[in-house]
Amino acid sequence: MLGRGNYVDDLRRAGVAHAAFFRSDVPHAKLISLDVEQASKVPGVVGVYSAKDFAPFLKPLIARNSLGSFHESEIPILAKDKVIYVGQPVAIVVAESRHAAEDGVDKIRASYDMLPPVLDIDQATSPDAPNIHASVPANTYNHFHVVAGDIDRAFADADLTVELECRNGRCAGLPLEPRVVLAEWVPLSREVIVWISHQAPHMFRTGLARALDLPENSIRVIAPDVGGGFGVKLVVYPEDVATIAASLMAARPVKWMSDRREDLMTTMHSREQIHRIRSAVTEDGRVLGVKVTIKASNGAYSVWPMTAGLDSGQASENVPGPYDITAYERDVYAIATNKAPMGPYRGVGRISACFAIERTMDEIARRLELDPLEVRRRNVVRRYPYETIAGLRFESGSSAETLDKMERILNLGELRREHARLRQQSIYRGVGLAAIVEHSALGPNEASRKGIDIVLGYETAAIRVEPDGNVTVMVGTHCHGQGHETTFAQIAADEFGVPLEFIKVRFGDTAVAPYGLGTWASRSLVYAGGAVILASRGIKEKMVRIAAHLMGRKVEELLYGDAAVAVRNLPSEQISMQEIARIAYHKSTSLPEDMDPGLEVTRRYRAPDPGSFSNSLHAAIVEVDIKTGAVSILRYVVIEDCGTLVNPLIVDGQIIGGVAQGIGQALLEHAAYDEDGQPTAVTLADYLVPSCSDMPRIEIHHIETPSPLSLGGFKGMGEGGAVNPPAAIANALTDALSPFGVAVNQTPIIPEWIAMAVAAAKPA
Amino acid sequence: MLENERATGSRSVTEIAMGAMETSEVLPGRSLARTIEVTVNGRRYERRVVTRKNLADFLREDIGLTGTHVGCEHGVCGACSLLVDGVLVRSCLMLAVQCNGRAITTIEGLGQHELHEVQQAFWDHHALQCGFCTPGMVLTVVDLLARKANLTETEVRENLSANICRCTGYQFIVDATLAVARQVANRKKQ
Repeated sequence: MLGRGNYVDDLRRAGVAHAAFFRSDVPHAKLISLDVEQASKVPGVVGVYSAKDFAPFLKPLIARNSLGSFHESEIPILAKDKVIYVGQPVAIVVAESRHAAEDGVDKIRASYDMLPPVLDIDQATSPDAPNIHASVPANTYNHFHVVAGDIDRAFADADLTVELECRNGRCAGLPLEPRVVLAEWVPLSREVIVWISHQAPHMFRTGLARALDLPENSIRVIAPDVGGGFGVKLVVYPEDVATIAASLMAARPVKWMSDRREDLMTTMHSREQIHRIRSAVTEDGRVLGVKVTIKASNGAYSVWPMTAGLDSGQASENVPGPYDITAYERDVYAIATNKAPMGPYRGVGRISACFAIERTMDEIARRLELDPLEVRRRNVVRRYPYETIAGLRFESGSSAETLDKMERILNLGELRREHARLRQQSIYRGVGLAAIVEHSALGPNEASRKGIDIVLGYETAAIRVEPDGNVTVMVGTHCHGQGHETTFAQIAADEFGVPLEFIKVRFGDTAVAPYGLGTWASRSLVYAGGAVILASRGIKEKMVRIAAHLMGRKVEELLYGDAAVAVRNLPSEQISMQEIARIAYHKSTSLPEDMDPGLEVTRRYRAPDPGSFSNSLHAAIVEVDIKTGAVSILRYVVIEDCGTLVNPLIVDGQIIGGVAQGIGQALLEHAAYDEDGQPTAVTLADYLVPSCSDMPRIEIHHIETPSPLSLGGFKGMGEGGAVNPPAAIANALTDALSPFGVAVNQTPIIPEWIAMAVAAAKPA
Repeated sequence: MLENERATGSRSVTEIAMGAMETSEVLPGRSLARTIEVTVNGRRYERRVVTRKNLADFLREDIGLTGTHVGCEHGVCGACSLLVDGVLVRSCLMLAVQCNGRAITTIEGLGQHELHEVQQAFWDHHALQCGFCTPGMVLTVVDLLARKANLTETEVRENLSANICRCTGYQFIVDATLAVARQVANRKKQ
C-alpha cells in the first residue's frame, strides 16, 4: 500500500545474474539437437545450460503415490530427449541482465522430430494414441472405479434417469505477481538460499532436497511477500530447480522471473474435466443413486507433491455434494495430455463436481416441473454428523437452513413471477442456485488415504514470549493475502488477554519458522490456529508454574488471565507476564531447579479427521441479450457457514475474491489450446479475468455453526467462494434461456455460444 | 511447404522463423544508451539507461523504488500505473528515455510521513490482500478522485475496470474509493 512490500523481485543481492528460458514451441516431439553456441557469445551472457550440464548432480523429481492404480512419471527439469508441452524449458541462459539473457535465448536453435500431440481427453487413452511417458501406459496417470451402495437397485427403482455431459474448460490461476525465484549458493557454509514466491516454503525445501540431492539443513527457503498464489505456487517447478542449478554452475546468484506469457503457458492449469453423470431419480425428485465417469486433462507431467490424481479424485469425492445419496458409482481417470501440467487451484476438483450435481438438480427440476429449490430440499442432508456415500463425514452444517434462508432473501416466488412477466417482453432473466460443502483442513488419516508422499497431517506454531513480555508467534503456514498476520495475532491476543500490538506473527523463512506444510487446502485457520492455541496454552502453563514458585503457592491456587498470573479469588496477589518473562530469561536462579529457563513452546496440532466441512449456497440472477449473447449478473447472493468467525472482514474478502474467480471461470477465462497443441491465451488480451466493472456487488450472509471437533470451532473456507459460481451461473442461464430449450453444461459460457444456441433453437 | 517439412519431421517453426531473421539487418551490434534527467517524487536523478528499458524497470532497478510492480509488461493489468507529469500512465508501456525532463510520481511519493487518505481508506476497508496490484490501484484512484467529483458506484467501477485485482473481487476497493469521494465532497462543502 505504501510501495514498501518485499516481493522477491524487490530484493537486491550483490552480483545477481538473470535467467531466461529457451522453451519448446511444439507440443510433442523428439528433441534431436540443441545448438547453444551462438547464444553463449551474446554480449552479457554468462552461461547457457541444458539437461546434460545438470545431469551429473540432479536427481529425478517424481511425484509418488502409494495407491496401486497410480503410474508415476519424472518431472523434466530441462528437456532431455523429448518435449511434451509448448513452453517446456529446454535450456536456461544466464546473463548480466534479463535483456541480455533473452537476447541469448533468441540465438538458440533446436530441431525436433514432431510427434502427434495428445490433446483430446477421450482420445488420449485409445490404443493408437501416442504415448507421452513410457512409464504411464495409455496416458493414464491414475484410474479407479468404486461402487458404493446398491447402485443397480437404485437404477432399477428409478422412475426416471437424468443424464448430462458437463465440460469445464481449462483455467489459469493468474496470481498478479508471476512466479519468481532467486538462488544464491553460500560456499562458506555450503548451503543454498532460495528466495521464492511460494505458499509452502518447508514443503518446497523438501522437494528441492530430493531434486538437488542435498540435505535439507543446507537449503534455506525464504518466501517473503507473495503476490497471490491460489494454489499454483505450491509445487516444485522445473524452472525453480533449473535456476538453482544454474546458480551453482555460474557461481553467481541467479534470479528468474516469469513474464506473463510464460506464466499463462506453464504455471499450473486447472479445471479441465469432463463429467458424464447419470442419476436415478424418483418421480418426486429424490436422487436414489448416481453414476459418473470423470476424466481430467492433467497435462504433461504429474506435479510434486500432489500428483496428477488430485483433481479427478477430489472431484469424485464431492459429486454427491450436500445431498443424501445412498448409492454411488464413480469411474475416475487422470489423463496425460500435451498441455501444461494441471495442479491445485482454488477449489481444485470441487468445481467440476459441484457443476455436475447442481446442473443435475436443475435438470431434475425441469423434467419433473418442480422448483429447483424444492428438488434440493428433498435431497439435502439434514442430520449431523453425516457420512456421505463417498466417505466424507460432515461434523456439523446448515445446508438445509441455507435453502430456506435463500428463498426468503431472494423472495423467490415473486422473483420467478417477475421473470415470467419480463419474458413476455422478450427480456430474458434467470435465477440459478449452487450448493456445496467445502471440505477444508483435511485430517491426517484422510490425507494419508490419498497416497501422496507428504501427508498434510498437522501444523506447527512456535510461540516465544520475549524477555520484555511481548510475544512472537512463528507458524509453518504462509500468508499470501489472507491476513494471517492479523488472524493468528487475534487468536494469540485472545489466548493471552493482551492487546493485538503485543503480538508479532512470523512465517515464510525455513530458518525461522518451524516445519509446517504451508497454506493450501483451506487449512490454515484450523491447523495453524489450532497450533497457536495449543502453544499459547503451553506458555500459560509454564508461566503459572514459574509464578507458583516465585509466590510460594501451589499451581492449583493460581490462574492466568490478562497478561498476569494471580491467586484465584485474590487478584491483588499477582505477577505480571512481563515480570515472569524477565525472570525466565534473565534471572534463571529464581526458577524451579528442574525447569528450563526461557519461555518458548512449540506445538503441532493434528486437526480431527476427516476434516472440517463448511457449507455455502450461492444464487445468481442474470439477464441475457439473446442477440449478442452478453450476460449481465444482476444480483449475486452468498450464504456461507464456515463455523466460528475470527475476522469477518477477512472472511468476506476471501469469499468475494473467490466468487470473482468463479465468475471468471464461468464467463471469461479459458486457457485454450488449438488443434495443433498451441496455447492460444498467452496474453491478458486473450485470457480474460473479471474486471471491476464485470463484478456485481456480492451480498454475503453468514451462519455460524461451529465445528464440534476442531479447536476454536474453526472451519476452513478460503477456497469455497470459487467453487459454486460456474454452476450457479450455468443454472441461471439455463433458466433464462428456458424458452429456447438451451441447456448450459459447459464453461466458459461465451456470448457467441449463447447467441448461436438461441438462434439454432425454436422458442417454446 | 511447412506441412511437408513437418511430415518429414525435420524442421520446427522456430528454425524457419530464425532463418528468416538472420538474413535481414534487424539489430545493431551493440545496444544504445542515453543519459536522462528525471524528477521522481520530487527528487532529481541523472542516470545512463539503455534505450530499450521501460520506465517500470528503470524505476525499480536504476532508482531503487520497487513499489511500482510489473504484472504483464503489455499494458493490460495496470499494476505498473503511475503519474508522469500528473498524467496516469502504464509504466511498462513507456520507455525510460521518454521521461527525460519529466516529473514522475510513484506510490512511494504518496504518504511519505503519514498515510494519504486513499491509503488510509484502503487500510480501513480491507481493500488489499496480497498487495501486488495495490500501488497501481491506489494511484489510479488518486488520479480518478482528482479528476472527477460526485462519483457513483458505476462510475467508480468503470474507471477502475482497467486495473486487474485477482484477490479481492474489487468490492472493498470500490468501498474505499467511494468513502474518500464522500470525504472530498464534504470538504468542498465546507
